[in-house]
Amino acid sequence: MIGRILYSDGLKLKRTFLVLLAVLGPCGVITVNGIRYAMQYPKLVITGDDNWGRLLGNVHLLLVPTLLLGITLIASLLAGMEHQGHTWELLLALPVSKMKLYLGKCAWLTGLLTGSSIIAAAGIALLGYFLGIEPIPWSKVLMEGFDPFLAALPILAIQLYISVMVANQAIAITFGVVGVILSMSYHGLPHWLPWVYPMWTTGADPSNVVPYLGTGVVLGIVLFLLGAAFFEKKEVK
Amino acid sequence: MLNRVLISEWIKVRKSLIWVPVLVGPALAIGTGLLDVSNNHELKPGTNLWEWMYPMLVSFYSLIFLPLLSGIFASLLCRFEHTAGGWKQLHCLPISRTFLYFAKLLYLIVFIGVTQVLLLAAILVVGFSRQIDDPIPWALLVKGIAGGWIASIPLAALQLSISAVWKSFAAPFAINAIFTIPTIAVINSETYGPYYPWAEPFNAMIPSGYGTFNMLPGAFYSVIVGGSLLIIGLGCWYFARRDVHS
Repeated sequence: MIGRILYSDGLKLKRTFLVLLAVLGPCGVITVNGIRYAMQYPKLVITGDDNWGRLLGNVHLLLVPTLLLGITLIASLLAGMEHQGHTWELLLALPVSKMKLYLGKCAWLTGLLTGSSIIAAAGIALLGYFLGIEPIPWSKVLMEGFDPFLAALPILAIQLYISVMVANQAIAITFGVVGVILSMSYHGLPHWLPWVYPMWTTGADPSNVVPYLGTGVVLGIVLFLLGAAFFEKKEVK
Repeated sequence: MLNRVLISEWIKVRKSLIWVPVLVGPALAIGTGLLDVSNNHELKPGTNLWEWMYPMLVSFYSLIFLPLLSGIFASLLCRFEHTAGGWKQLHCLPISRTFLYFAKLLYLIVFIGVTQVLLLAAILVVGFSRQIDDPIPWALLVKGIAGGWIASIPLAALQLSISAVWKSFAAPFAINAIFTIPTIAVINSETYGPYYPWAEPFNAMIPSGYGTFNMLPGAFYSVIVGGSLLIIGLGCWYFARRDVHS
């Protein structure tokens, strides 16, 4: 059952630019950093210094807003497709469990962003290799590629829920943009706020990662299930 | 005729959701400003606290929020017609399409202006709540606020041109986001930083020594003035001549 739901969502996504967006995001981040490093090489790559730490820090600064904006956009498009085509009533009238429908959308959102993370991690490794910064610290690179995404799972859940519940996608997108700004000012914000998790989980500074990562993953799964439960109770107009 | 188009736009706008982002931006600035209390920085005695606080409050706002906001406003302004098949009805009426484009552009610029003014009010509120005794540097603040407003005009024109043509709400926003994100890295570069259009609001709002609204004179005239005229001209021309299908 869930396989067919995923397949039908996949068919709908084929005509949009969502997959392109998920691929383009991390490529853009790596490209911009590549150009910046190419132009300011002597200032940024100093022999004997912690070059990987600096590279990961620079990539992280661009990767987190891209990730959050990508989450906002993909969630908005996934739900917006149904709102715009007025297909919610059709979908909910089918003999399919509502929870599974919602979780199917969650799965696509998570899956697309996992692909983004893989590309990001690979891109960081390639960037470091071509810049001649040896050796590649694989654990840190993988941490930088995947941990912001995993720590941002609560944000995924919240954005998808808002996009599904409110037909006007402008509200969801404005909320997402506010979230991006909040995440950038992470120093002054309380540590339990979901929007600060991605910025703290960086490969450049692995000591901070585990509490934010763990909370992010657990809270994300909880919010996904809660969202599905609320969606089941929702009445369709 | 422009008068009538403006009045009809007002009727559409006054009850819509556009006012929400207008209030959100300055509220965000107040929020982040008030939260920054714990960082006790080392200050040289005699520094004007307003001048120290202002760049901290507006840096992320002008770097990311203002360009994205112009996109959100543009999409919201065009949403009325996209959702109900209104473009077809609107183009059937004896209204010049050029005037229609300019009316929407005017509203877009005015909304960004209102947001900037509210931001100024927010900055003053944060300053007073922190009990800063120094004299308010009006010249600095007004130049920054006005500069940010003018610097976002080419971005707003581009967003309006794209939103008027594409039905989806998210596609123009995606394009805007794709160009906005690299600004974080671009502003570090001395050769390209002043000229990148999406970095102009940041260049304009952060105080530097230049006269033309804090931007390099070359950048100001070529990117802002020239760019605005180019985009408005092209956008208006395309809008007036396109075939409307939806």
